[in-house]
Amino acid sequence: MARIKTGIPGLDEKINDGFPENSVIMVYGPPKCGKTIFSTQFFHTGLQQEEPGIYAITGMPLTQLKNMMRELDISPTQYEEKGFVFYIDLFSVQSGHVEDAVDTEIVRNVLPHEMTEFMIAFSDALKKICQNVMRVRVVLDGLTEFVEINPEVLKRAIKILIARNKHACATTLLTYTEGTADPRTETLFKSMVDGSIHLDGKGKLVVESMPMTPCPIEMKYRITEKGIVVG
Amino acid sequence: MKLKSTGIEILDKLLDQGLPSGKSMLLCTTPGIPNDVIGYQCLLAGIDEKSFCFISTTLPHLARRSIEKYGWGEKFGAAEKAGSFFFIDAISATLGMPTKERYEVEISDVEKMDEVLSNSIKEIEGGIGLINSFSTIVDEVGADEALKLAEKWNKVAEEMSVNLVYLFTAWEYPDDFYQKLDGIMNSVVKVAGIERRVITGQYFSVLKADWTKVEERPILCTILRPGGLMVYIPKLLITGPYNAGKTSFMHSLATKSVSVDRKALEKFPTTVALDIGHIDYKTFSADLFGTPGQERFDLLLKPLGGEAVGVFVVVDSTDPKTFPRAKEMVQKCYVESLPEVIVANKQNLEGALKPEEIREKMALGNDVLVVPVRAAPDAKLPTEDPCPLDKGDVYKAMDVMLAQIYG
Repeated sequence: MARIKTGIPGLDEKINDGFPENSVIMVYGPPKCGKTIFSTQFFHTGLQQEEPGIYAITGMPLTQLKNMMRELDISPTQYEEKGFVFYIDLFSVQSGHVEDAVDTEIVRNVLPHEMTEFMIAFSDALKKICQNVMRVRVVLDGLTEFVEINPEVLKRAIKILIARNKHACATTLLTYTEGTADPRTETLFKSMVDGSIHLDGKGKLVVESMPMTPCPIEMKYRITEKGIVVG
Repeated sequence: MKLKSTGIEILDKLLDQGLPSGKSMLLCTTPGIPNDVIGYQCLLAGIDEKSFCFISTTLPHLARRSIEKYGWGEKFGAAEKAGSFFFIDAISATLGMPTKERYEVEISDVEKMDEVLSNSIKEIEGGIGLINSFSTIVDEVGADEALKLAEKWNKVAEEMSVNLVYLFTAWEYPDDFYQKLDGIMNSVVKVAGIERRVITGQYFSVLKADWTKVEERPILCTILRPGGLMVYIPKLLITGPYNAGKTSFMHSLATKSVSVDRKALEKFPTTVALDIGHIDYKTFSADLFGTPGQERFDLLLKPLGGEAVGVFVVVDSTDPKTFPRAKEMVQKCYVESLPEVIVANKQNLEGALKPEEIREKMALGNDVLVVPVRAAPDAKLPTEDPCPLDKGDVYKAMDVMLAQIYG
């Protein structure tokens, strides 16, 4: 099975050279443990290899995400110009930054509780970025904002989302802030993905499950100016 | 009984000329397929009467932005200003945001939502109400309660001759829910995606209309901004003998087009590969493919004719000796069984045969229509190439083609 490099120094060699292609992996942990940094590194690594991607952000406005990318020395502009990037901002409208929430060719603003609109934006994004390429990456950062939704509604939406991603040959990374949902919902999230990685926020990273990889694998990690480094 | 247009010509036809007053319509879409456009298009068609939009999927001013992108902002804006169109804001309160809309509700407050919606239906007697979206209501209040509400609203709407249009996303609800939902709606239109690796296109079909016999026929469609929902015709073929004016017809008909031409006999350009064009016309969006006319390119005819859904056969009305060649080209394109329109070109020239004479000389059946086409009044004859044709004439040919395809 082909592997998709995460781009996290030290991690790929421990998990057979990356995530299995077309898998859905959840990265979770407490607030500020590095989930978004992990996600941007994964996303950027794909872009560097000409693998287009969709980045759906729920916990901060898109402008803030881009600032964070710049701080990590990641510049998505050249890839945006090539049509390799599509953003779905699920934060700005909800938080009242309505005037900043302007849809463009590569940005769609959606309310996080409105799964119908999210699915429409997602389908449009997949259609745009999948042209002429076989391998794409999807980041949904993160699931936390969805937990207030009726669990049944959330379950069916994520199920369809995952099915669409797999159908489109996408490798998907989901993030989730530990403890924000009840234990049943957390269990539900874990049951829907192919693998999970836990960041404890204190320097311990555990690959809890990963297809075709003996688990668990425990490692140390640290957040540097260039992002997460393992080992 | 008064009929109301949905704003989509072909949908009106499938519903037997539109929605009878007081009848409800459920627009049922698979997740990931936009459906608000059809709802807004229905509202637009009835914008001169009273109407409302119950909105729970996005903030009203974002809905206005979306309407603007479809190119309908001015008309909706004028109706709002006149007080004949209004939003029922069913989202801002949930998000803790202020609203400027005439009515505000929270879906969780079932009693108030019911009251506001029922009163709004009475307020727009004879008009149209859009509920965007019913699936949000189902998710919030539960399936049984939502069905009860819809049944009640439909009854009020029937009494007030109001058409209620429900947008609904077909998530994985239990089968018996769908049966009950179907039972309380007068009509059901399915909107679904054409899915390969990703959703590449979409179609709609009428599943039910309790006032007429329904032909369940999928209609391909596309969404344009501006433009809204357009019926998509993937391929219309334009063929005909050499120098009949196929490229002129293509360029005059198409919104945009490109030709691969070469100068023949060092005098005038002729198509040596194909013409490709696209037309957005009324509520239709079609791709046009033109064939070359010279016999040396006949090998191209079969592949060019493949997957066409209709064919324009362009003939030079002044040159009947080329008519057998026109018929031969139709055979070689393998499009004989498709809807066919004969474009009787060059009607402005001396000696042009009349459509009836062309029909006789070509031994055409009565089902094949011949449309006379002239050069545009301002065409610089005989030098301008491609020659601009009379827009009224070419659009008449397009209307005839659409009528042939969609009945």
